[in-house]
Amino acid sequence: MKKLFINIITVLILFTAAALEQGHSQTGKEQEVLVPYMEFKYLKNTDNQRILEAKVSLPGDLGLEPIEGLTVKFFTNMDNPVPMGEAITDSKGIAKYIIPDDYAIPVDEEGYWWFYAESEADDKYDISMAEVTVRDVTLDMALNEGEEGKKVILKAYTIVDGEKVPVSDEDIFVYVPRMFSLLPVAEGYFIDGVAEVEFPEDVPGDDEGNITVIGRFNDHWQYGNVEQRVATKWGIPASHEVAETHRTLWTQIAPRWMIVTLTIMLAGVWGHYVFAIISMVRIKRTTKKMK
Amino acid sequence: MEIRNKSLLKDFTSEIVTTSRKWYLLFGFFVIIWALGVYALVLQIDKGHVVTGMRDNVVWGVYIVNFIFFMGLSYAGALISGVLHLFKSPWRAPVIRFAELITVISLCVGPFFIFFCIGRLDRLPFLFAYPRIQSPITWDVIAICTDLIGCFIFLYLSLIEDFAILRDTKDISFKPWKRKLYEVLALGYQGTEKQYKLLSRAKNIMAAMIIAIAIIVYSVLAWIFGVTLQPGWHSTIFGPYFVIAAVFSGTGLLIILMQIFRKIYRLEKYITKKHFVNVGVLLLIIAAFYGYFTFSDYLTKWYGSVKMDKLLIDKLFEDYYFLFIFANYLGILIPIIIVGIPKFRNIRNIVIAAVIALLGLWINRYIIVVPTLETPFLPIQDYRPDFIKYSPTWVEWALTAAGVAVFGIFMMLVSKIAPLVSISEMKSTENNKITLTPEV
Repeated sequence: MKKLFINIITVLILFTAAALEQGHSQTGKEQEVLVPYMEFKYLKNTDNQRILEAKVSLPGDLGLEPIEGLTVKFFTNMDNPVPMGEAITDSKGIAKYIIPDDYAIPVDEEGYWWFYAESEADDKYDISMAEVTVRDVTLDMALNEGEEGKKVILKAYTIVDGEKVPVSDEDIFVYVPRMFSLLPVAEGYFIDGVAEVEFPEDVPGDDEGNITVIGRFNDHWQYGNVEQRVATKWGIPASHEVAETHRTLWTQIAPRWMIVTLTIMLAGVWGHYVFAIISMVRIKRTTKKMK
Repeated sequence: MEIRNKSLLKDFTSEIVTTSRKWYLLFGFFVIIWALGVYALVLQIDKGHVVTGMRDNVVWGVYIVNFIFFMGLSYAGALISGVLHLFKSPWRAPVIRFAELITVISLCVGPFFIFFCIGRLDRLPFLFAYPRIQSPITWDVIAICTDLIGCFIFLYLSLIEDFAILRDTKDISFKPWKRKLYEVLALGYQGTEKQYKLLSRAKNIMAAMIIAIAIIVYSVLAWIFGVTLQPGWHSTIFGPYFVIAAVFSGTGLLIILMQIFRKIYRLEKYITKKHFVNVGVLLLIIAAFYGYFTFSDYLTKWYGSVKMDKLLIDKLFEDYYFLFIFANYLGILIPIIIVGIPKFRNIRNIVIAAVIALLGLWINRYIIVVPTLETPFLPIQDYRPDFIKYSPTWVEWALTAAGVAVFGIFMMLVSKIAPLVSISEMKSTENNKITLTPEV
C-alpha cells in the first residue's frame, strides 16, 4: 500500500515537473520574427510612366495577408546598387515608386534594367526582398474600324545601341477592364514590330458603349508589364438602369388579383357563417313546429 | 332537456348560482386595476402621447406588443378549440370551453391597444369610410372583424346545448331573469335528432372555419410587419412564425387558466393531471416548432449580414441581451425540459412552464417591435435619450395591466352565466355517467 502511494506521488511529481517545464519553455520563448513575402513588379503605363510596385504580405491561414506601414526601399544597378527612393506599404501591402522621367536608369551589358526592392526589418518582421530585370520597350496602340471590322494595331520596339529594333515573335493580349480584373478579349502576335488584333464585336460597354481597350504585355519575361489604354465606343451599349417600378400599393385602385383573392376568401368565409346562422334559425323553427 | 347526473351538474353550475368570497376578491382586484387603466387613459387623452414612452422613431411600443400578444392568444384559442372539436379528442371536454373563451375575450380586448396607439382617434372612422384594399391595415381590420364574428358564432353554437340544459334544470334555482335568458339563448333546443344534427354540422363547419381564419388572420397581422422593409420585420417566414408563436402563447394561457379556475371553482375532479399533461405535451411540441422558426429567422438575418439587419442583431445582443436570452432561449427550453422529462411532469411544474412560455412570448413580441424601430434607416435627428431609446412609462404599464384585468373581468362575468366546463362536451365524452333526455 505504501509502495503504491509512493508510486502515485512520484508520477504526480513527474507530471507536474513536465508541465512546469513546458510552461516555462513557452513563457521564456522569445517573440518570433515573421518573414514576409514580397511580390515585385515593373509597370510602364499608358502615360509612359515607369512604376515599381512591391507588395509585401504574410502567409496566413486565409492566404497572403497584406502588411501595412512597412518601408520599402528601391534600388537599381546590379553591380553597384544605387538607392532610387522608398515608399510605405498601404492597406493592401503595396508600396509604389514612380521613377522620375529624367532618371537615367543604368543599363547592363545586354541592355536590361535591374531593379531591386527590400522591405525594412523591425521588431515584428524580418526583411523581404525581390528583384526584377526588364528591357525597356515602347508600345503604341491605335484603333482602326473599317470594313474588316474593329482592329487594334499595336506597335512595339526596343532601343539597342541607340537604334530602334522592332519587337518580333512575341505575344500580346488585348484586355478590357471589368469589375475585379482585366478581361483578356483577344490575342495578337508581333511580326516586325506590328501586331494586328481583331477586337470582338460582343463586348459590353457602358450605357453609351464606351469601353477602355488595353494592349498589354502582361508579366512578360523580357518587358515586364507595359500597357497602352484607349477609350472608345466599341462596346455594346448595356443599360444597367433598373426599370422603374411603382409599388401598386400606392395606386388609387387595388391590383385586380388582390380584389379577386379577397372577394373569394371573404365570400367563402361569410358563406359558411351564413350557413351556421341558418342552422340556428332552423333549430328555432323546429322547436316552434314541435310546439 | 334534463341531465340525470345531478352532482355533476351541481359542480359545473355552482358559480352560476352562488358567488364565493374568492370571486368577489378577485373581481374587485381586477376592477381596481381597470380603474387605474382608465385614469391612465384619461391622462393620455388629455396630455397626448407625450405621457407615453413613444416618440418620433419608436411609434409602436408596449401597446402594439399587447395587441399582437392578445390577438395571438385569441387565434391560439381558436386553433386549439377548433382542432380539439374536429378531432374529437377524448380529453377535450374540460378544456375546450376555456379555449373558446380565450378566443373571444382576447379578440375583444386586443384591438383596444390599437386605439391607445392612435394619436388622432377622431380619424379612426376614416379606416372604415375610405378603406384601401391594398393597405395591410385594411386587411387587418377586415380580418379581425371577420374572425370576431366567426368566433362568436362558434362559441355561441357550443353554448346552445348547455343553455338548454340550464333552462330545463329544475333542481337548481336560478334567478328568473337568468332562466329567461337561458330560454332565449337556447333557441328552443330540445336535443331532438334533427336539431342535434343541425347543431353538430354547424359546429363542425365553424370549427374548421375558425382554424382556417385563425391562420389567415394572424398571418395578416404578421404581414403588417413582413411587408415593410424594416430590418427584422421584412421576412417571408413571419406569417407561419407568428401563427406558431400564437399557438405557443395560447397553449400557455390555457394551462394557466385551467389551473386558476380549477382552484376557484373546485374542478379538480374534472380537470386532472392528465389534462395538464396533454396540453403540456402540446406546449412542448409547439415550443420545438417555435424555437425552430426563431432560430431560422435570426440565422438567416445574421448570415445575410445586411447592414441594417446586422445593426439590429448587434443591438439585440447588446442592449436587449437578457430579454433576448429569456425570450428565445429560456422561454423555449424551460417548457421543453419541464414537460419533456417525465420526472418533472406534474401540475405545478407544467403551470410554471406555461407562465415562463407566456412571459417569454410577450418579451419576444417586445424585441420584435421595439429594437427595429430604434434602428431606423435614417439617423435619429433628436439626441435626447428618450428619442433614441424607448422606455415604457407607467401610463403604458397601467393600460397593459388594465387589459389583463379586463380579460379577467370578462372571464369571470362569463362564468356567472355559462359553465366554464362544457356540459354538452362532457356528455359526449362521459356518456356512461351523464345522459341527456329529450323532453319532447
